[in-house]
Amino acid sequence: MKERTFTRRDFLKVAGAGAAGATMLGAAGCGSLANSFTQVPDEYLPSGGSRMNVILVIIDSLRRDHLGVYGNDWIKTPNLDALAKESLRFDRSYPESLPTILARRAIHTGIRTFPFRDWQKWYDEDVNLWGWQPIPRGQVTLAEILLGEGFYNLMVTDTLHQFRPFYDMHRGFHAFDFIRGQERDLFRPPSPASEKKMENTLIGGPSAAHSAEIMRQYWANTMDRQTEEDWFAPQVFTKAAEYLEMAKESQPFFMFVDNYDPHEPWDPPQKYIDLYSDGYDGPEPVTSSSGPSDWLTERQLERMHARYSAEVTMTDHWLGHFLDKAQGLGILDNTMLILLSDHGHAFGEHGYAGKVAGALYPELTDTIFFVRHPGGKGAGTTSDHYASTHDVAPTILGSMGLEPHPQMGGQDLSVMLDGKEPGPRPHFTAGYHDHVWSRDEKYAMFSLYNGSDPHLFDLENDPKMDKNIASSHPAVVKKMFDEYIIKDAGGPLPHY
Amino acid sequence: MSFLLKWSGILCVPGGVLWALTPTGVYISNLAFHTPNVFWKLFWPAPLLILLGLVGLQLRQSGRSGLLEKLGFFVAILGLVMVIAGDVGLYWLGVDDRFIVTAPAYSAFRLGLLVLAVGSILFGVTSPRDGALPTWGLLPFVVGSLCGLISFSRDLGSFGAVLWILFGVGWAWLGLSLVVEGFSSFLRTRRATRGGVAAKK
Repeated sequence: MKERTFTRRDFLKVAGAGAAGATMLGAAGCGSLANSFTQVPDEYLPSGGSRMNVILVIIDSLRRDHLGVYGNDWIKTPNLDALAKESLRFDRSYPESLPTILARRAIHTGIRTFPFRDWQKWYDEDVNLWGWQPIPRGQVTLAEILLGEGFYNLMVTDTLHQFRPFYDMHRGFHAFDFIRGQERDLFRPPSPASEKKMENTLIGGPSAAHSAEIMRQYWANTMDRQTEEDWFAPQVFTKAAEYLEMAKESQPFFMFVDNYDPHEPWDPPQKYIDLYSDGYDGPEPVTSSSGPSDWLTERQLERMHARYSAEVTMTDHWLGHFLDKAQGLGILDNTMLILLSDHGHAFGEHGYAGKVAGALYPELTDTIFFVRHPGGKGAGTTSDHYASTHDVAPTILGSMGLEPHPQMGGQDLSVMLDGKEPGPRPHFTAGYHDHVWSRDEKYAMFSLYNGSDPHLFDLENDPKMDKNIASSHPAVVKKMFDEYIIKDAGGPLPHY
Repeated sequence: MSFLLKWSGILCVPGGVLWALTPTGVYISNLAFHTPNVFWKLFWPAPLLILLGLVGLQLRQSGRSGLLEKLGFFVAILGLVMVIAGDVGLYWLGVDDRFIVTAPAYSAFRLGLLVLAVGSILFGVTSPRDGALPTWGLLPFVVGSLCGLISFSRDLGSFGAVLWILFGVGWAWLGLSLVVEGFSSFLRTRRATRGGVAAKK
């Protein structure tokens, strides 16, 4: 009897079959089989990777069209412009919801705050805007995830809403510093001296009483100012620069710098105001009293805008101080820096001043968004991708090879630093209180939460959104509301 | 000395077993020390034993091995060296603590795993022609190496952990086949020797 030998050809056949089987097993995910492995520990690879430090800077209320790098030719923002040139810059960044706290919820968690389901107003005196509440307990924050990865987390902010009672947005941070006294922060009691400041403060418009209340508190908070270093943006970036020393000894670190300026009140040192306005001698428009702007004269609006622009330049100057310190310490060589704003502010464009939910025009919705990689990846490039606040956390995690938390719905934009594209976003949606907004390549639309009172604009021919064409394009309005807003919201929108 | 080198391939058995115990080790380390790093600090003997075993296996077929098989051997050795260097650099020397952007130790570890899997597959597929290693030991080894390639490429959770285990089992199996073959050969030789003595009588 002839003995059958196992030839090399036989071996390759069997090996090939085994290999193909194993590959298919892996490729298909093999759901049911994988489920049977749930008893096996699920961690088997070493952890590590490109563990950069991370600095995340938020500049509140900074309009996109007020930066040189985005085309502005009269406001001085040399440091932001220089940073943009070293960064991947998004030219279509929008907050997925606004204003302040809603944007920060998305930034901290990577979860959309819109459509404001299960909104719980935390206490009677809190800001009465849909979705304005602390981060829900069940949601994990970026800082908490990085904490688990061994990061040392630091937070510096003067954004008063974050350190109001019960907000605990500093959870997950080792070190945090709240710069007290911004806007209506209940920091110091009014005094005769602060009341005197009210005499030269322009108060009026649709929210006059509220504006007066804010300004009364603000002047009381800021009576002790001596030098420029006592203003808020200087305090925030100076403290953040001090924190850099501590952070350098605790690498890897995550530093969160949240700067409230150029949010109102616009009260920068005079030298900054003089850059953009002179010869004004009336009561100072330091706050906008959100609503129609027809209560302000043209001159008052100009002055208000100049004061805002002055705060933009002051913020830029002190951001530069912070960046210089980071550069000097060598921190920018191994630190990713993300800088974005949360929303803009209107100064009479379209007949509104302030942040009006029913006036979702570019001056309010268009934000800035830079990602600077220490290795220079993506430096000087721009993107038309719709980048947003809830992309921040997945982007930071993704840049370090960490899987985004399953709760996170934002995109990892760090893939763009390697020339790849994140998932397509043919449209984008946002919410602000009882109004919703959406845009695609051709149109922008906003309306009330139930689709009523729509405003539609042809972005190709009318990028500043001056001519409402909703009445002549009902099908487009319906499509944008049903297929963009309702679909992104996962069903009918709640209302309160 | 040559006897020891020839049989050092058996070291693949403890190396493969230790490798296969990784998910369990990580789990215990997490449980006991709240970090997987205690296990990873102790992981380097697994790839080191496999490396020594692989050298022994290669010595068994030296002179008979073809170009591809040699290439597979060297690629696998390179992968093992990278894994060991990565492990030591990451968990003993703290290299990545100082150079956190480039993460050289971690990169070496992860890249080394892939290089090791590719080298193992090449070594396993081309070795049967040389006849120095038992084919029944090489076949599961190749499949295990392929499982390794899949599990090393990205984190696949529990499924990936099983594939990781199979990679270690493949190496242990290959080493074990050497033991069995050696023992069988020993028995055959002894039987033949006894038969020869009996015939002489």
